[in-house]
Amino acid sequence: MSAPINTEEPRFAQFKLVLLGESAVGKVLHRFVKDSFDDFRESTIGAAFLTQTILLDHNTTVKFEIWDTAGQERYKSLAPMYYRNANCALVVFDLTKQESLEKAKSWIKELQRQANSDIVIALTGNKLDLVQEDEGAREVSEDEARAYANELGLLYFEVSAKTGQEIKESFKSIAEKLPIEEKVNPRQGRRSRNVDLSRPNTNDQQACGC
Amino acid sequence: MDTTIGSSTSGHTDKANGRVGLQQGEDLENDNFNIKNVLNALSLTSSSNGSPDSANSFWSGSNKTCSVIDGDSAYPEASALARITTDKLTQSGEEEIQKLVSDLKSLSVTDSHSQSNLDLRPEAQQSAQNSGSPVDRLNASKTQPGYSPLSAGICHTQISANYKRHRIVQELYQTERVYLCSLKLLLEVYVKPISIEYLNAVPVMGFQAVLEKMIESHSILLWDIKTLCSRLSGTEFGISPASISSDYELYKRSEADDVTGKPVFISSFVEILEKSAIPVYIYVEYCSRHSRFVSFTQGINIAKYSEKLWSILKKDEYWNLGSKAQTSYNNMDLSFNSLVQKPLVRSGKYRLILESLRSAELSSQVCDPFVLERIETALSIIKQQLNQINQNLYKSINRAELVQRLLGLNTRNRAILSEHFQMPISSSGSGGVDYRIFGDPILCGSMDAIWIESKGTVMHQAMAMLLFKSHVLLANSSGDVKFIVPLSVCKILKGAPEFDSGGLTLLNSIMVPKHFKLVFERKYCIYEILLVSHSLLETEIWKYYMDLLIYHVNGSYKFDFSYSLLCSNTGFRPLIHTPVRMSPITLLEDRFDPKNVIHKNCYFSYVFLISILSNGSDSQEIPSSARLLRLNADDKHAIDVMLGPLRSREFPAPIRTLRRTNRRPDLGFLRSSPSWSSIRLPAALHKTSSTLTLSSASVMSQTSNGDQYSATSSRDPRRTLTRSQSLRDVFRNVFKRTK
Repeated sequence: MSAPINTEEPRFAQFKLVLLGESAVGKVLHRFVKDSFDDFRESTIGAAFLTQTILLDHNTTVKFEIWDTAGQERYKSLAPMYYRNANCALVVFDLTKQESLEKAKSWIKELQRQANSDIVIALTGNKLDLVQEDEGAREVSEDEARAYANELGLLYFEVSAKTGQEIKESFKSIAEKLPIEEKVNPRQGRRSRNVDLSRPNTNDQQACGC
Repeated sequence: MDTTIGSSTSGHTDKANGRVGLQQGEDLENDNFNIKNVLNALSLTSSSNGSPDSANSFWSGSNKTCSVIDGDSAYPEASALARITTDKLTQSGEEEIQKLVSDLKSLSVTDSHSQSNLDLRPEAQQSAQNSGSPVDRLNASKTQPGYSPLSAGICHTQISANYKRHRIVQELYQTERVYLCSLKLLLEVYVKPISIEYLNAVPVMGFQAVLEKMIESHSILLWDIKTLCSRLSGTEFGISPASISSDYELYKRSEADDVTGKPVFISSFVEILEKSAIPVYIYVEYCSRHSRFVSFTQGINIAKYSEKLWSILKKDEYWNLGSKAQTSYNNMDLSFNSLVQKPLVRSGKYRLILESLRSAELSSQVCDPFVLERIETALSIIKQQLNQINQNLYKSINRAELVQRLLGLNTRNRAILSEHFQMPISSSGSGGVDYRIFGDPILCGSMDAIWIESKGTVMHQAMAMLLFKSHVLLANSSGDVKFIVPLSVCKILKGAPEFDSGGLTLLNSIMVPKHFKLVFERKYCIYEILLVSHSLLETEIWKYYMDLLIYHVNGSYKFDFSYSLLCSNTGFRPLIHTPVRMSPITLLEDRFDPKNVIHKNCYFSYVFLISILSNGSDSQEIPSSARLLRLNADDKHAIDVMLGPLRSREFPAPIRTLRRTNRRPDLGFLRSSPSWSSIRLPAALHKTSSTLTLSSASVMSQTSNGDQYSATSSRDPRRTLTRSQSLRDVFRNVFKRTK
């Protein structure tokens, strides 16, 4: 009789998440990390990145390293350096502005072209609170955006940075889609199969135990 | 220039037997003394060239050539050797890292480690408070919530501008300290050890030079801010920085009381930011080199370098936050990828800081128009600087990548680097150190290389010659790398008077001044390669760049075997590659047994007469002892085609041969063609032929003085008629163009 597998062994994985999109993206970040809009408690502008830890289940901890682009994404030459080695990207658009969706689409194209092949991209419509108050304010229909996301295999969320609605859930969904097992035990991960070694590798640090 | 190879001040030249030897008992026993001497010599070399410091010479802008070519340490091997020696002596790396980690820990509450725990399990909200995970407990013990007016029930709009300003200034100061600490950690934990292990890696050397400059620049910025605050208030920001984050007193202070509310402070503060926060040239270089450096690190085991850091972090519960379950180092907060990316993000933060400051000023009850204007000006300058960074990133193609594609896929070539760096060759062809290690090639073209192998065999091959910042590579038409020579231990002999020392000697060197010798040292031996070009113009270009890089960038070498001695003493293995059977022209006798094969093959007392067949020379005039060599234009063409886009634009455009399908077309039949004598270029065309983009007839166009090298074997004259007709058509087109 074989020994039972120790399912209680704690698991920890850390992922890099980049925020792209319109300038209000930063608020989403604050809402997620601080659960408030209070800019006066801790510094946020100067920080290179913020971290947030999620307990996904009783023995799995996922830590996000969240890189806000600080408006640098407008500089096209620099943008690829931001999302290099990112495990996941949150591309935010404004549900009340059609053009913001187009901008988000161009970011998604660029990410799919230049970022890691296994990057998890979440298309996120912001200002859900405004839309819920007045449906007429909505310029981007949920069906349209969701269909686009499904077509490209992206996650799709509608959130409100102001009220915090759906923020936690969206990050949880992202965490669930990330290759945690691969991080915890790289040998059992996908990397053992066909891997394009010429692409930037985000898991090198785990590849060799210290 | 020395005309005697191997002459030096520390040794003596034994002209009786033609070998160079050190004086008896001199220096050989005293390793430390030797190292010191060599290092002193290297530093003297640096200063004698008017380049006191590699980084300084690069950043000063006085030497534009250096900045254009690669911008790396001006004396890479010298500085690398100095580093490796000093590191052995001091071993202070770990203490430095420990100090940085400790500093970072004290600052981290305000920067990247503003962690909070978010348990998404429904039942977790309660249980976390009672029992909690190690993460919860650590968070509870770590988090030091600062005072916030919002938590005190004060309306957002009521918060004073003074408070906002104070927080902004303090945030910049504290995050700048964290940033500086991160840069230093990146340097100490990763970049320095990598550069020591991969001494010749140009991507690493260049990145290190930029990083060190960046640290220096931000240290000055931090110092300036600190000085400003101290000068105005006596202490930092008027009160102790430690108390600011939780000090309710700060909020209660009136704007007039606080130093950050004073116009002179804000004006000086934004002035420092606009002048020192974003040194554009450093950030341009950093961003441009970032990708190549990261690509380089993907070929090596980067986790190995984090061991030292990881061992320090493991001792501290603070840094183990959330990572109890980790079996290896994957704390990304201080991982290589995170640290290396920070400068990319940091440059954008200054704009946000200034925007926040403007917003605070606008909300102030005593808004000073002068101060507001000053902030606006600084903001526009910062934006302009960011634009400059964005626009000035290297737009050129990655030539190092092209070199890798040309040479790096060849198994034999990969074996050269694998053997040197003692890394296994991956079957996929990727991974490990590759030919991008040399950086961007500065000059690429073709030369004919002549050297001596064992038993006096004269070897002659057309080669692709690739000149890098610190090395020159020679590869044959099959793409096999034959020579890798570090420029720091070589010199060029440009003409006939310098060839008096013997060895490879050109008979018609005065008539055909299209050659030079490359002399280099390896393991107490001196080797020479005679390099001959097809045209005077190409030779002059090569000489110019070689001269520049050897004597003004890498620093001249005395050829006193001090380099070999240094390598022996330090265990440093220079990246040199030559054909296995290559014979030296001279060697340090003391180091070799007379029965040694290398000693036997040394040809110092011999003279190899070489005659290059040219248009004006006649084989009857050549002594029978001379080797007659012909340069084949088609071999040159094959090399030029092989180089493709790598071939430098400085050279005349490559000349196509008539028989494109044959890899090595033989145009010798043209000499026996009855139409040959009738086809002569007019004088006007002779002058311009080197600059024309000729689409044909290599036999006539490659020289500016009428010389032409080609094989002279005769072929069936019946075939020549159609060839000569087509040649005539070609020249007709050429004449049309020149008109």
